[in-house]
Amino acid sequence: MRRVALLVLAVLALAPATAFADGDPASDVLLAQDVYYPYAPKASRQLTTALDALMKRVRAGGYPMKVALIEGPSDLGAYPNLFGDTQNYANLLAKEIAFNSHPHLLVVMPSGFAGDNLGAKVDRALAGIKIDGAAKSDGLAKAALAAVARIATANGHPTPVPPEARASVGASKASSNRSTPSVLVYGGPVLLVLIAIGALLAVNRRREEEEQA
Amino acid sequence: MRAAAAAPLALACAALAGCGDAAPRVPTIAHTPAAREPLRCSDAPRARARAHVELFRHGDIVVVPAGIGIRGGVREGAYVRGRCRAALWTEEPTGLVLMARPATLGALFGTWRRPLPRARGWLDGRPWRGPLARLPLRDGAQVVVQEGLPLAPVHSAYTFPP
Repeated sequence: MRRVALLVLAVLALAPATAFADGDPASDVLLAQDVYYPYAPKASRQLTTALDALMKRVRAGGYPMKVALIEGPSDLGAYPNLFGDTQNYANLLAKEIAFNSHPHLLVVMPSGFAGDNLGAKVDRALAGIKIDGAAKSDGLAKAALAAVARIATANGHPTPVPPEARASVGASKASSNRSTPSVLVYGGPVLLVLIAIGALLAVNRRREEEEQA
Repeated sequence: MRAAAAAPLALACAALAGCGDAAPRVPTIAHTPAAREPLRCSDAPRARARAHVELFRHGDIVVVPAGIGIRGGVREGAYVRGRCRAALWTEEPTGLVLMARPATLGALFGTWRRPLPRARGWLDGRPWRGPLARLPLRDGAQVVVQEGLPLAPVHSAYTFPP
């Protein structure tokens, strides 16, 4: 039985710790600052200044947020396949930056918004915010300006939308989802443990039967 | 019999404690010292090669800090800019290593002034069999270094910025 236990422990120890992956630049940058800006093209100074100021304002107002602006696959490093898969990337990023906290996380890609821990009213807050894909990084920054202010407001921290974001507020459709844990991520390890327990119990039972015989 | 019956439960508890993100762990960034001055630096050498390096200790991320190999750098949020650079330097805390010419992992740790860990290395997803110090940081290399268990996922490729 000891051999089986050691084997199971070895398998578990060698299994990749998916919750602590480190392949995307945003996860490292967001440990030190509140916004990850795309590599290229660079967002304009006016918009980055406005967004940084807004992030400070919401933090001071009691609703600190983290924002990742993802303009292209190179902003995803080892996960270029997640470009356009906004919610799955938000789920990954939320785990990577949640060491001792559960941050309010917003991800903006040309294809839409996603996030984690943004409150129950997030969909209503983001409705009508247009992401101007043609404006590239500036389009993402403008959309983030509007989104951050509206999300903070929806969560009880009234914050005006900065004037720099005005062009992004329109009638287009915006989508947002709260994160939903993957069945594979959480179910896999539990299944593995259940199988191990079953095997150990079966070995024990057989041994007892042998001893009784 | 009682001890034998308790073993699976203990095993389950130990295994569950090591899985998922129920028990948050502190990133080792807290123990990463600030970048120091490089031994030698020249005025803004051009980056002719880039590699991406990921470090883990017991499955936890160890951040490769911004500012390695930059003397008198100016910090801008998570980034460090400076014109006086060694032959190898980092401007961001993402593991992106810029080099005037292809180098080695030993050169990275030497410039960083940290000892190489007793660890295993992977180059472009394949285990590195040679001495860790000689693991090549050639242009486009994706390197993973892991000390202890559990192992983090090993990425075999990295999409570099334009």
